[in-house]
Order: sequence, then structure tokens, then C-alpha cells
Amino acid sequence: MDKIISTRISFGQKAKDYTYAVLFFMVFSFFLLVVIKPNLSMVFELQSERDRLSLMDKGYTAIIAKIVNVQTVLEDIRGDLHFLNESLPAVPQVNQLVNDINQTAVNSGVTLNGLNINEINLKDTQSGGEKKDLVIDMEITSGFIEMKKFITLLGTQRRLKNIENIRISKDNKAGSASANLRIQMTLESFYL
Amino acid sequence: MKYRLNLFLPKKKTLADRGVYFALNYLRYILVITQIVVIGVFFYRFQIDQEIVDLKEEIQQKQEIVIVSEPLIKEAQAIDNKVGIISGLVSEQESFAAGINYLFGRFPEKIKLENLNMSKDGRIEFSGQATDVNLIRIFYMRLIKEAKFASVEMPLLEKKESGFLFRMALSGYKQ
Repeated sequence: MDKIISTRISFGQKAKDYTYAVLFFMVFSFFLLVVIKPNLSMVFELQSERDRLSLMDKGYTAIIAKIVNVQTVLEDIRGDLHFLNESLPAVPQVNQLVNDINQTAVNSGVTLNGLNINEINLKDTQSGGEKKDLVIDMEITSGFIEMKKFITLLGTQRRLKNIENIRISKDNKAGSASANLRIQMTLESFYL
Repeated sequence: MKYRLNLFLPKKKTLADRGVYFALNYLRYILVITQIVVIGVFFYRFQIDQEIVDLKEEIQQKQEIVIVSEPLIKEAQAIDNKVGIISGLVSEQESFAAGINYLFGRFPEKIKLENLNMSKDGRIEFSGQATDVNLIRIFYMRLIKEAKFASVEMPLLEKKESGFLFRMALSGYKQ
């Protein structure tokens, strides 16, 4: 009897039963891992998906704003675009080039002695976006002022022409005027 | 000292009793917390799903706008490419013209130009003849003083019966 009493006293006052607490944490851990964690992970995944889409949306908005801007600029300059095509045509347009040089020679008062167009592929109509050269060698005879005018006029034409090389020497041919110069010029024109 | 003694034997709890006790006192908290989280996520998901769907639709529409605008973009790229090429060519042309105009503008009338070579890289070589060597010297000094060319050289100056023959080489025109 004494033993029973002492056991009860000690049980009631000092010893504790942790079975429920342990079970509580085990069950709660199970719910945490199996139910709460997947739900919270899904929330974070959805948030990151929303942020990603939002960023993409902003990117597309910026692109569209640029497209609208480009469209506005294109509409503004559409009337002047033919100038670009005239200065850098899609095809060689050799006849136009020869006409230009001939007309310039006439206007500036130089004598065009010879004109040689280097090899050119007239069938090549593919444009890779890179400029192709059209090289013209020519020989003219003129005075100093006329030559200056000829060079200036060549530079003012819409079809772009660059002087690649110019060689000026005195014309020693018999009967030529003393002021006459013999000019050998390599001209470069371009097309796309 | 006073003790309250319970002399009855303690009632032995069965497993079912313990289970019911656990469910009523502990499991309900776990279930409540879990339900709060799950319901919260459920409603949040409603909201965020709607946002995601809206964003996806918006992006799709914008992608279609971009696809439709592709020819316009290509045209703009082609024009931009052309403008770039033309700018470069015009710049070369202007540089060449400026160099030659500068030289011709300062070439003394009393010096006879014998020959002149000018290449695309801007190098100018010329030779001339003058009766007075001072004219050549003044012309040479002027070219150096104005410093429009990075390099001004006179590799030849010789006296001949007809006058003084000289050769000059200029390069690196600065606009």
C-alpha cells in the first residue's frame, strides 16, 4: 500500500507523459511536409512565373513602342526614301552612271577621252545587304579649273561616286594647249 | 503535512481513448493550421492564376503584333543599313574633296603643276616647277604652318635650266 501511494505521489507531481507532445510534433511535421510545404512551394512558383511573364510583357511593350516609333519615322521619311535608292541603287545601273559622267564632263568643260568599266556581273540581283563596287577607269583632258569643277560636280550628284585614285600629269601631246592636263581617274560607284 | 490520497486504482486508458484525446486536444490545431494555409493558398491561387492568364494573353497578342510587324522591321533594318553605308561613303567623299580642295585652293598660281597622284587613303604626291625657289618655300611653309596634313614632306628640290623642280608628299588630311 505504501508503495502504491508513493508511486502516485511521484507520478502526479514530478513525472510527465510526453507521448502526446511527441505525437503532435510528428503529425505536424507530416502535415508540414506533405500538405503545407507543397502548397507554399506552389505559391512561390506561381509568383516567380508571374514575375517572369511580367518581365516578358514589359520587354514586348518596349519592343512594340520601338516598332511604333520606327513606323512613325518611316512614315515621315517615306517620301525621301527614293533619294537613298538613287544614291545606292539595288542594281548597277551602268547606263545611268555613264550618263552622269558624260553629263558632268560636258557641264564642266572637260574632254572625256576614254572610259573603262571593270568587270561586273549584271545577272547578280541578290542583295546580301552589303555594298558592291563598280569601278570605272577614265581618262580626261582639261584645264585646272575645269578639272576642279568636274571633281566638285561628281561629288554633288545623287548617285554616290568616290574617287579612288587620281593621277594628273601635263599633256605632252603635240598641239595640245599648255594649260591642258591629262587626268587618269579611277572612280568607284556602288550598288547593293 | 497533509496529503489527499486517491485510493482508487487509476482507470487504464485504451488506445482508442488516447487517440480520441489526441484528436480533440492536439490534432485539431494541426488541422486548423493546415486548413488555414491550404485555404489561403487556394484563394491566392485564384488571384494569381487570373493574373498569369491575363499576362499570357497579353504577351501572345504582343507577340503577334511583333510577328506582323516583321516586314516593317526588315524594311527599317535595310534602310538603316543603307543609311549607314551611305554615311560612310559620303564621309569618304567629303574627306577626299576637302583634301583636294584645300590643296588646289592654296596652290600658288606661279607654280606649274607637273603631275599629281591622289589615292583613296588620302595620300597626295605631286611635283611642280617654279622659277623662284621662294614660292616653293612659302608654299611648303604654309602647308606645315596650317597643319591640315599630318605629314608634309618634300623629298625632292632641284635646280634645272627651266627653274626649280620639286616633289611633295602629303598624307593624313585633318578636317
